[in-house]
Amino acid sequence: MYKELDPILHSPLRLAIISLLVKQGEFDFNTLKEKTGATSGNISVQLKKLEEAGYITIEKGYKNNYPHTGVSISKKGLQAFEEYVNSIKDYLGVK
Amino acid sequence: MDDQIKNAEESFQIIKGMIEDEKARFNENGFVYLFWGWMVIASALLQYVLMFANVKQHYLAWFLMVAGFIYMGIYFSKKEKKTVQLPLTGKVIAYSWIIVGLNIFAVCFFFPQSAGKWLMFIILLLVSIGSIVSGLSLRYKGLIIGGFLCNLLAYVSLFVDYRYWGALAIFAVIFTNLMPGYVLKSKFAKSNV
Repeated sequence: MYKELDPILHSPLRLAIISLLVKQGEFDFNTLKEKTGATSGNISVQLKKLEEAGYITIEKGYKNNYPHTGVSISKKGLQAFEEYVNSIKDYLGVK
Repeated sequence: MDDQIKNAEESFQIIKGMIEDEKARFNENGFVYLFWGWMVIASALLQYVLMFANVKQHYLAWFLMVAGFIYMGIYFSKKEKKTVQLPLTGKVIAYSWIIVGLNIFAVCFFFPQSAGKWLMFIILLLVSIGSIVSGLSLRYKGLIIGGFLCNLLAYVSLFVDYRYWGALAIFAVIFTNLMPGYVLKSKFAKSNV
């Protein structure tokens, strides 16, 4: 019996964001935008969904007098990503 | 086909490694930093008490640290049994501190006279390197800044009398152990609510 894939993570842009955060822990909004190639509007919408699910934390502030948005993965987000990867492994039959 | 499966398995191993490294960050509760921080403060204060009491062998107060090493050995041997495999981040931190600890132990207990006025410099330099490596591995700025401040104190130790080394050690552990340790403890508590 195949496990159901987490609908929050089963979206290309949200999965890309979480994958980047797992790799590096935290990113600022502009770097995420640059790395994913998505528009600001789209990134904002996906970040909000991830934040509502408790998968990431967003901190807004200022850096060198410019607005700065820091995004970091939460423990819940990391656990969800691990489960997602395990489910994909089951689908592919990888040990 | 076999190559593809092998590639997929290797890719998943890389992803697993990334996840385990991140888990190590979330599981860092600051206990070890706080433990050594308070051990150093206790030893330094005990040495001052012995100095005021005119005890010639006041440096023996630092033998408290040996008790600390023994306790840590027991603590980690119990913890290791529960952990299947230490992630890369954990290995980097653990091995760095083992090397730092063993070298401090060797210099303090076997070569203190050869080290002479460089003794505290060597200790603080090693601690600062350990803190910076841990801070970089955990991506925690507090430890990196603490490590740099400790590095600065290492140079200060060259210009002050040995009677003030205890005070320098207390300041060093406040920067490298207590402040980062309490922040890590509070972060750990928040992420485990």
